[in-house]
Amino acid sequence: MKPNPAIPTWSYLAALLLCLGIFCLPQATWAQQAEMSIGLASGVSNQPEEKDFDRTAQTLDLSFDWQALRVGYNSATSYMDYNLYEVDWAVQLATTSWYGAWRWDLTEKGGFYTLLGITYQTFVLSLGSGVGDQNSQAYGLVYGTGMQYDLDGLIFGMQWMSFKVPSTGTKKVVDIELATGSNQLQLAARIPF
Amino acid sequence: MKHLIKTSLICALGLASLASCRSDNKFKEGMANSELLLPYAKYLKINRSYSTRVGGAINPQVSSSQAFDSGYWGWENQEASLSGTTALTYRATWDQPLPTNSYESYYLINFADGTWPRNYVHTGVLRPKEITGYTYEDYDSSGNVTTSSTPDTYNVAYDSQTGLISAASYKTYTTAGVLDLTYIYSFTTDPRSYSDYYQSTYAVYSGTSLTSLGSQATTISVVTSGNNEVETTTQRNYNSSGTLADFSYSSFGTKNGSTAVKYVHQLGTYTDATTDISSDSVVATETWYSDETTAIYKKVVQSYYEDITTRVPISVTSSEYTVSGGTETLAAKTVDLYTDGFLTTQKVYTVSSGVAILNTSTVTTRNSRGRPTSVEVQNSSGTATYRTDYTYDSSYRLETVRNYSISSGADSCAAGSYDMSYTQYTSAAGATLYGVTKTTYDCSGTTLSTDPSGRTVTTYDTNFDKTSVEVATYASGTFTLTSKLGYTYNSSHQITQLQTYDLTIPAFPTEAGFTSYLYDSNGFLTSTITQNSDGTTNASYRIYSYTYR
Repeated sequence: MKPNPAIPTWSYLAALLLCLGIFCLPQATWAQQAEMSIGLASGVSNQPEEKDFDRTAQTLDLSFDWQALRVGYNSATSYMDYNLYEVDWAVQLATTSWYGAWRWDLTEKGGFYTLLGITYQTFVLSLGSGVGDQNSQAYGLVYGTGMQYDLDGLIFGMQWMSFKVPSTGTKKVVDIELATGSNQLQLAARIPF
Repeated sequence: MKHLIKTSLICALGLASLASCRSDNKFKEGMANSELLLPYAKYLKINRSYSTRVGGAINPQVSSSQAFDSGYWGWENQEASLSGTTALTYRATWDQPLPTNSYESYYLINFADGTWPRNYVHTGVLRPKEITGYTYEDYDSSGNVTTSSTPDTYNVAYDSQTGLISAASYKTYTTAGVLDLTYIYSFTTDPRSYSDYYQSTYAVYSGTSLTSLGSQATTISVVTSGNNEVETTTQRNYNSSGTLADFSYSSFGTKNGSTAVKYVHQLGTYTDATTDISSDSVVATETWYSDETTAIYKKVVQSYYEDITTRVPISVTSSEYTVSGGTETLAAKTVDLYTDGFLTTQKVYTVSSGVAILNTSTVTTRNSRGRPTSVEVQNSSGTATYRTDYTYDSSYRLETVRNYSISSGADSCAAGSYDMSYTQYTSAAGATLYGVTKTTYDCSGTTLSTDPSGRTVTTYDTNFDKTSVEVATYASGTFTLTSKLGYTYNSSHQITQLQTYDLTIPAFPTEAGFTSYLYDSNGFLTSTITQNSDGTTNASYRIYSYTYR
């Protein structure tokens, strides 16, 4: 399902952040690093190596933290409208990434952290207009940073993640070279236990 | 703490800026060069749209993604000429900018490699520039004004709020200045996406009392169901009493022994299959009625395509039916079969008591570029009875055409064989000019005569406009000119002068009388004047003056 282009995804996230800020931040404290936690994050992404994908992209991230190790599932979808050969092509790139990353706390209380790890990514390129979907996969790096607040046992925060996946090179989607790396800015929620 | 926050923010910003500075992989470029999309790369594109109100010279230009066949400059009866390696200019004109005029055409032409484009382009329904009416002056052969004191009038009305055309009237008067006939046209916004409006009523009245002589009413509707679309045009003719009847000014004629008073044309474009129509097909159905509900004749043309969007045909079946008491009985049938988009077999059936029996098959064999190399007519038993062979020169232009009658497997010469030759030369002014020579041959017994029977030389200017046609006969080793015409054009490719020649001494044709064609600034014909060689007029003529909105 493509997002409604009239209402970009980031506007929903901004509204959510505003609400959280108004109602919760006065009571918030920097979040402590928990022994284990699960987290859900969603936000926007862009593909720095594929600047033609110009429509608002969306991302979803589900992760599990155990001490300094984070494993996660990440999906991102980006879009492009392109008229070529008198055909309107509704191009959609959907990436699914599984990653494992070390998490380093930048503060003693764990409110700020950075991530560095590896990712295995599969992706589906859909061109529309009767051309079948194209699939491929690649390994890459994932890194990022984030900050988080503890709201009475529920942790909220923001994080930036970057998936650096080499342009497919020999793993071209048919014969179209495609770089599927992305930058993602997400609002995140975690439940420690 | 502050130091760490600052450090992390700097790190994040640094990483982000590094990430965003990655070089662009240029995905669109990759798509454009992808073999995956190569089948889509062959297409035609028309530069004019239906919404354009055009002048008298209708020269829609078709451009393409690939080069057209450069060897095609010498087309006989060409409907288009190359205006660049990837562009064609089609030639059409209309004389008067009347709102009842329309121009609609489909273009499909092969590329240099003999393949079809993946689509055919459609001009949509083009309409002439908007006029409010016209006046005219009549002249005799001496150039004296002879216009009637009550000339005919033509007026066009537009909706004062929407500005859209609403009606037109044409009134004719007798020599005594009395209103004779009044033609009233009304117009309605067209629901079809490729047309602005259509003529919804047409009525004719007689005399000053405007006695009705009948009328025709037209409605057009478009029904969309999913990806399928059906356009329906319904026309009804009425007599002076407003009753369904023949309307002689726009009659539907007689069908199946009865007068048709209602005509329905349905054009269905089916991307998806229905219960009785295959996907990727276009079905055109015409039905004639003797009254509101009684169908009397029907014609159905079903076209199947490899893909409805590419319009590469697979087959076209045309069936005609007489309809009596609701029962349809087959009356005529033809089937055209295509291979890779090229017509290869045409089947014509004879129909007896509703049963179609194959009468003839015309089988076309083509070379790798899609050009026909032979066209063979076979009888119902599949035995060849007639054949035409074609050869092409090194530039892929038609070179020879040979016709044969075939009896018991043996070829014998048939009439109509000819050779084509092409010349390209430079004028004194440096312009590239073209010449096409068609040399005809008669049969000598069962073989082709070695001597030609005559020839036609057609020359074209640098814009591929025909500039002269010379026809000659052949006897005793000599070609003798029997007719010559010269053509002159304006920059819109409209003829401005048709020159005739005096051939008293065939070897030295001299300019004789000519016809001049005059146009207004919008390219609509205002007058056709025949003149003597010295420029004096030699017949009466009329000069129109159109007033535009």
